[in-house]
Amino acid sequence: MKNYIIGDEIVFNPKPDAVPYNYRISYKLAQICLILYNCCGRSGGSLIKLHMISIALSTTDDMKKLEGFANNERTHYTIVRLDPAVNHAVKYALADGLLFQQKNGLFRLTKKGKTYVKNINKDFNLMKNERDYLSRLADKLTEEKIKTLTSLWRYSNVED
Amino acid sequence: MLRINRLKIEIKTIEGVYGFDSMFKEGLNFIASEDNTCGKSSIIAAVYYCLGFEEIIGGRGEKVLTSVYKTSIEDGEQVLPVLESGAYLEISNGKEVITIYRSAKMEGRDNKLLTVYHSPIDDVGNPNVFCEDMYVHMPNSAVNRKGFHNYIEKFLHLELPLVPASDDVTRKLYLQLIFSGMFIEQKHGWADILSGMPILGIKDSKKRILEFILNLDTLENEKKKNELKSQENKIKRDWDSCLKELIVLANRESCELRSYPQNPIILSENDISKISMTKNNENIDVYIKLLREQYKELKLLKPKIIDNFDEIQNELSETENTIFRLENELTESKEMFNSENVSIEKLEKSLEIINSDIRNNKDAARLRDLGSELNLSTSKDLCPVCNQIIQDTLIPNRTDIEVMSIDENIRHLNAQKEMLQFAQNSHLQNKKILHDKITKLENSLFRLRNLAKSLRSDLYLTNDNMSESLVYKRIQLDTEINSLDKLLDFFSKQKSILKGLSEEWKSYLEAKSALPSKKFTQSDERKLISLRNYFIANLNKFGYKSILNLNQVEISRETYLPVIEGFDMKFDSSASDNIRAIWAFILALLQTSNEQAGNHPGVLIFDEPAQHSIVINDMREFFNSIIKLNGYNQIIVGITMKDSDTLHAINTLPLKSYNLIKIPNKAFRRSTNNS
Repeated sequence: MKNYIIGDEIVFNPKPDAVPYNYRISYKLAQICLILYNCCGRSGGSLIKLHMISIALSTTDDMKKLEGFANNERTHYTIVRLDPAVNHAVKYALADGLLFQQKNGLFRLTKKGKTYVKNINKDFNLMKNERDYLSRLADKLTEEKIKTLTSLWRYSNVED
Repeated sequence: MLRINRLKIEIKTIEGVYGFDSMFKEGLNFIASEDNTCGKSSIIAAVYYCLGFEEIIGGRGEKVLTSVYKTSIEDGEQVLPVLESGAYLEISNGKEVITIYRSAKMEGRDNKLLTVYHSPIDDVGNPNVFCEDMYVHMPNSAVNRKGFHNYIEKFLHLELPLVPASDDVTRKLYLQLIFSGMFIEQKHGWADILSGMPILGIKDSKKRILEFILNLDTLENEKKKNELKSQENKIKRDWDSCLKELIVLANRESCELRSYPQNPIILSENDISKISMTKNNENIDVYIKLLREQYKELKLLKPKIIDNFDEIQNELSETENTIFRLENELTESKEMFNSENVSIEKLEKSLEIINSDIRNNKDAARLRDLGSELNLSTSKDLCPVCNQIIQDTLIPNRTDIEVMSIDENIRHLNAQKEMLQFAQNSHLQNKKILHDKITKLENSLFRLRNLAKSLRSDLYLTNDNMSESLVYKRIQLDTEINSLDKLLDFFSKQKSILKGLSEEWKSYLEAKSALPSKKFTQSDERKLISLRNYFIANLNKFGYKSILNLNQVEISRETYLPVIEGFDMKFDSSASDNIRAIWAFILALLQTSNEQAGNHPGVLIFDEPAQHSIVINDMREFFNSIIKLNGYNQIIVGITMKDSDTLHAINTLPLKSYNLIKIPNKAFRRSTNNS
């Protein structure tokens, strides 16, 4: 059998990996802050709402689906995807003082978070698509709608 | 040469016109006041202002003028507001006399506007006097016809050179820079030699000014270098366009141009003969000859079919074979063309994706910056809780594999984008080549099919008829011969144009090598030596003491400023000696220019030369040197005769040797309506 190995040792230097832009900490943090600013009123936003909207912002199709659900147009929005990255980002945001969690589990922006969002809004071109979509979505995705969706899980996926 | 004849300042108030009006003579002129703040600087500032040189005082427009022109003027106890003000300056270039009017405060008149009357001040209202409006401090006023400095340059018979500017273009050496070597103003002008020079974006401006004043040959060299540069560009452009025209025309006839020089070179006869035009790999002359022979043979053939039946059949089958081959080639080429198009589209889509990725990553970078403004630890790659270094990613990954930072990501994406664009460009080029090839093939197929058609119809016609294919072939050959002949004509014409350009190139190269590289010509050396000698003589006369052995002073060949042992002289001088050095140098420039035919306009203004407690004897020597200047020069000295020493120094000068303009307390007096 022929020996194809050039030498005794092969040295491998791993090159840095690329990371998609929406998995960068600063980007996700900004997304979460924008979601809380635009779509959650004074009462605050639940974690699931953050997941749902954050996932929806990834492609235009998903954006349409969620908007349809919020406008009561579609009745077959059933798949809710949960992204652990959002959880990590929420932890970072809590630690950095951009959000705080109320006693009822809902999240709200702190003063720092609000300043952050204001600074983002000052730049006209920054995250334009996301901001436009979120201001269109506004308050339409209510916590009740989400509750009805999640309650389906309890009843349809649990078997005795 | 510039001579200031008369200055008339008018300040209009509600109580009447206040002003100043005085004549200046040749030689030494004193503008003397008995106390400070009498308005002497206002008067000298008016001279700068009317010539558009107020940048030497350090500003543009009326802001360099004192408040007496703009706000209010005192008359005894009264403080009168200024309604309008302006100044007339009468100057001469030795032959002609003009008056310049510039307003300092006037409603409805821009302060950048100067009116030039072609007459002395007394004739200004005369309707026969020609007057023109010009402007200063607008872009291009140094070269535009309506620019005042452009006019003054011509009036003074100065030829300002084009010099390199700081943004790599060439600009005209501005007049304000040159006059900063002649007009020394009171506040900044005495800091250093040529320190009042405004910053106007010229490279090595002090050096250029001195070169110009002394009329050094290096100035000529700069001019010549610029001319040669533009000549070189012109020849290159003509060469390029000549070749391009030829290649385009040749391509139309499916010919190729071979062995031609891309860039201008000196063409020998051999080189010219090497440039050849070929068609189907044969020299075009040979090809045309072949065609003519074919044509002759065709002429010999009898056109009637019956004689050519066999040949017609053979030719038809040959033509059909060629058509078949060309059609195959055409289909192949079209397939390749389509696949190139598909690749280009795919690359376009990928480029879109990459562009949006780059945008999003740039957004992420911007967000990170906003975060660090708010002091978020995550923006600094630190964990907010334990302050450990974290990677900028939300995807859990092994800690020993590094992750790219946002900036690296952006760089990476940009590199990818460049690569894709490069690939897309090469596909576009291929597409273009294929397109040309397809067009050529289609043309040949068109001709061949026509030929086949006429051959076929010949075969089926009755035997007595004219052979259509023969006629068709003859016409084809005829047209081809004609167009190739025209091409050949054009080719020889272009060759002679190239030969002409090659001659021009040769003379350009000769002129370029004739330029001296950096050494000074003999006359330059003489001028610099004379400058040094005058300078040292002046220093001696004025009592310069900081350097013991003045013979060690040299004029630097790099900066044309005085140095001692390689160091600038001012480092060794005391403050008052610095003043003496400035007197000595400015005067030496004038003296050298007078002796050696330099470009000095022959006028100097010294505003308060008695700085830093200068010894009065030295001042007297200064005045004496001025009086002794040979040549027609005009020196204006603004001086405060506060102490008896100065008064004495002036009074002991020979009576007719100076012109004393005394400024009374408060320079501006109520003037009568006629003056």
